[in-house]
Amino acid sequence: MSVEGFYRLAWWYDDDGSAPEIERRRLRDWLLPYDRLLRWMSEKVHGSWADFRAAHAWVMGGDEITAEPAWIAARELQDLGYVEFAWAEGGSWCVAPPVLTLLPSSGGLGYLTGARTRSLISAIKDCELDFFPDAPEQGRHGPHGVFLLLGSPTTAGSVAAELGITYTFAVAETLADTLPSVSSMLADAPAAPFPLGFEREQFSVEEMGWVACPVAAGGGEAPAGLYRFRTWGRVEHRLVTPMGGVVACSREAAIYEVLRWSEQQVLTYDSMARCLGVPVAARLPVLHARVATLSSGLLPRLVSREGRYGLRYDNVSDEVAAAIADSLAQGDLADA
Amino acid sequence: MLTGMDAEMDYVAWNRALIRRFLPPAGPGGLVYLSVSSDSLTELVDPSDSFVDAVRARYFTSEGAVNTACVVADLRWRARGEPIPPYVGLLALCALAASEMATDGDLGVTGSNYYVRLNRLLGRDGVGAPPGFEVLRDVWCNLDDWLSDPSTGRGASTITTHPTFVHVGYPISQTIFPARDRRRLPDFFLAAGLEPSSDASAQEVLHHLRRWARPGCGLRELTIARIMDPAWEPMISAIALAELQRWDGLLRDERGRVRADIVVNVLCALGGLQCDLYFWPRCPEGFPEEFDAGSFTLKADGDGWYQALEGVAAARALDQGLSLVEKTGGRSLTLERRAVVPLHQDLDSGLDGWAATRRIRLHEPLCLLVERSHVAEVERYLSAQGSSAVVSKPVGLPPGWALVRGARVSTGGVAPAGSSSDLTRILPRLDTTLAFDGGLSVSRWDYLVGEEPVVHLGLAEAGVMELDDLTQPMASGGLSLKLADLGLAEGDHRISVGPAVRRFRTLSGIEACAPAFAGRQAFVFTNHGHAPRLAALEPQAVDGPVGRGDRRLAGADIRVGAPGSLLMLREPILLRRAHDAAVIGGVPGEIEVVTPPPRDAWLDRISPTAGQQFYEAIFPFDPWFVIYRNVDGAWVEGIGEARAGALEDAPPRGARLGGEQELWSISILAVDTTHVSPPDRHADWLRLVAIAATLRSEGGDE
Repeated sequence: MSVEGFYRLAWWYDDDGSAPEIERRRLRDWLLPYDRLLRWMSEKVHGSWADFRAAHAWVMGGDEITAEPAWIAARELQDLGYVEFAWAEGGSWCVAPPVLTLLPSSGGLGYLTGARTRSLISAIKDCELDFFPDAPEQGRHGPHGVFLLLGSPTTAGSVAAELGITYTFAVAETLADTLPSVSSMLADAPAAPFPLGFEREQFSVEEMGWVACPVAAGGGEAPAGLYRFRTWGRVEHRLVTPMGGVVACSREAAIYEVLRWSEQQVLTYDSMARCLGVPVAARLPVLHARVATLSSGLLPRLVSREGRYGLRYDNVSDEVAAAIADSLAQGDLADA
Repeated sequence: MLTGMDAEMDYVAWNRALIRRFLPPAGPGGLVYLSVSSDSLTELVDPSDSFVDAVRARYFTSEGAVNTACVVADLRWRARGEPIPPYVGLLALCALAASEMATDGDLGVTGSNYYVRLNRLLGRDGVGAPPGFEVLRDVWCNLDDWLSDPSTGRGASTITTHPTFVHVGYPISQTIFPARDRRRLPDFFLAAGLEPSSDASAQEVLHHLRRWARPGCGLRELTIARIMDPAWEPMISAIALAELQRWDGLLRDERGRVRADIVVNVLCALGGLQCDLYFWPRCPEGFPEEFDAGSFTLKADGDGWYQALEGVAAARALDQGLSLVEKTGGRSLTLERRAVVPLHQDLDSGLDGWAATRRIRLHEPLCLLVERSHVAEVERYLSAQGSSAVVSKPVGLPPGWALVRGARVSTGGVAPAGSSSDLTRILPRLDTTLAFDGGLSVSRWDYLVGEEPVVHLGLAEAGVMELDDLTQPMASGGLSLKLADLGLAEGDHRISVGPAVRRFRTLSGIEACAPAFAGRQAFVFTNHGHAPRLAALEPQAVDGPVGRGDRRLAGADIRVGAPGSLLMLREPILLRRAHDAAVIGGVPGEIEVVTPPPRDAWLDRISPTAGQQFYEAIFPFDPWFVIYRNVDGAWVEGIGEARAGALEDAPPRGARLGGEQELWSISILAVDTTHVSPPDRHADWLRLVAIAATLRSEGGDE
């Protein structure tokens, strides 16, 4: 029986300041910055982007310079189902309700996502479970995950009821039912001209990356495609449609739209390993990424193949992979 | 001079106008001052002489004595059924006299000097207080009562007096901090690290104010003199504290508009040979997403900034300062003109390179943008600090300006004699300070246990630091204390150094497994006939029940409004991985023999051992029991749920035994002969054993 991960986490959550300093120091070495960040978010419940950035800088300690920007951590906490960020409202955030889900094809592993308060962790510790798996790191920017060996859906349901939280069997497969299509994600994109005076780059489906795209002498209309502009303090994207319209859009959805135009398939699926492959240059939109992530409760692995980087989502079922591919107009998935 | 009915009409109009201007309905929390000056009167009606005439005609005799009968009668204004006090004009005249003391700084702030100004206004030749002046004390108290009545909605009164100069203290209290100087107080609060709820005492606020109030700080010289004057200490500190407690955290410009800074940002390249200058207006909370400056609009980037100003002539902006006023006039963005601009690397701001800061901080890498004429004194100061610095004039810097790089200030203290106010105002202060930095707070002054902030303590002279019951002598100087390393127990705490005191709380968490407000931001799917459609690409603020047919998704929590439904998945059965198993249902023939599949490799990411114990399987029937076998024998476990009525329906009478039915019966009976039964659902198992025995015997008969 693993006594380390979950119990360390629970011990840390329960500390009311009375723990011996030596124990606290050992625990601090084991904790991840994102454990502290998630605990704080869970207890605070909601806040502003400025709050999050300040807390992110705090938990990073002296590593602010080398640490990834706060927005990457935010995006990955969102993918893992812990929190929702409203970027359109200045990055305000609110933790999600705690949910216990039984991961499919995991041998009875329950995954806990959403708010992770001290009271919840303490209550889980008090549940009479036979086994707490180690609390693994969920990825480079994820906290330690809380996985529970539950043995059966019945046990999972009764544990969730005892904790007073929601239980959903295989939540990734349930959510796959709600994935929006690329066209619906771009349907309401507002018309917006190119930002003037900034260098532009175009997304190349051949290169699977951004290439410089100087304005042609004499100006002229830009051909259909996805463009990005590094303006003051932010990157803006514009999609020029085949009909010549120019709309402001989210990068992820627009990349899959231009891939659709060229009928280029970039997602791969290994049905034996139940592994979904996604190019780093064409990351999944947030809901699609969440469905893929919640299949295992782990962020994707970064892998390199022939000099190109890709993300590998584990334990993605055939049905979930097909739903992701279908909603992103990726057709039948190529086997990896 | 006005007389008779005309003067009376004129006074009533003045009284009304003064109340509208100086004592408007401010709502709870706001402070009100009858801070009348000749300038503010001119804004009301020009010329202001008519005001003095109108007051004199009503409240003073021709000899310049107070008409006490009229004053006493007006104190009964409520009994007369009047909606507003009639004597505000009289008190405004007294305040006007006090404000004129400000223009004669050399006269000093004393009672006799006040009466000089008052008598001059009244055209009175005598010295000292006009006869009957003492009755005005009751009038001030009456006005204070009226303002303090919440039903008037006029905001909080600032009327107070001086222990020695009792009668003149009232009007001086209204003008000692004129509006222009009050608008600089937020800059002081910010510089001193004071916050509205920082629990600071009046003494602490005054202590900081005296350190901050130097030439160049933006206060008038006379106000600075009064701040330093011990005679006015109680009044100054009470007003400053009241302003702090009601401060909304925003800065104000000289006209009282909410103000945000425009920050100079320098990006160096080519080893400092070249630089680019940017001007970034801050976008603090409460500022609009789009700042309409009239001829152009600035858009906020969501990170606390507006887009950088384009087309700004850097030289002109640095030389003269810059002010952008919102078209509606409510807010402004300002760059104050400074000859020495300290720049630091501000990681929290999101700005690359060097960004302007208000003040040099000790030990921090520093860069200074300096007007050429001030370079020499900056070099002298840095040299005295033992800091070597490089003065350069990189390409891209406006003419007349230089960049001082590679500097670091290690001690606080005084600038060399003869230094300009441009330099002294930015020097680090060796002061008694107590500032919190960082920490994980769930609400103001409430920190998670183990995530308490760092406290920066500064002591101008040797003293004592106290943390709860711990007392520690401190030499003068600075110290940073990591509270998180002290193992503070959950509860209330107090830290103090010198006059500075802070109270804070540590807590380990909220008493709820599921926070009440979790999920208030969610993806919303609206009902569009056959399938819900994502309403917006971003999560939205949500409240109340989910609409009919709609869905909300927050994290992994999905809520469905009737009659919408989600795909209901058939839940698998989990079997122990270590053994072969026969899974049986309640109907004869419902049996499947399974062998564990290979273990998924991805589970190694979670634990090398977890997941080895179970695997999932889905069956075409509802499983009731699983029979495991290994070399030691067999055992039975109940799984799934018994179907009501299933046992009554089975077995079909006269059914032929064979195939699956036979295997089903044999499996059950084989286990039964070993006297093994499941630990639960014992009765169900015995009934299956009976059915299997019946089937075997009937099958055997045939």
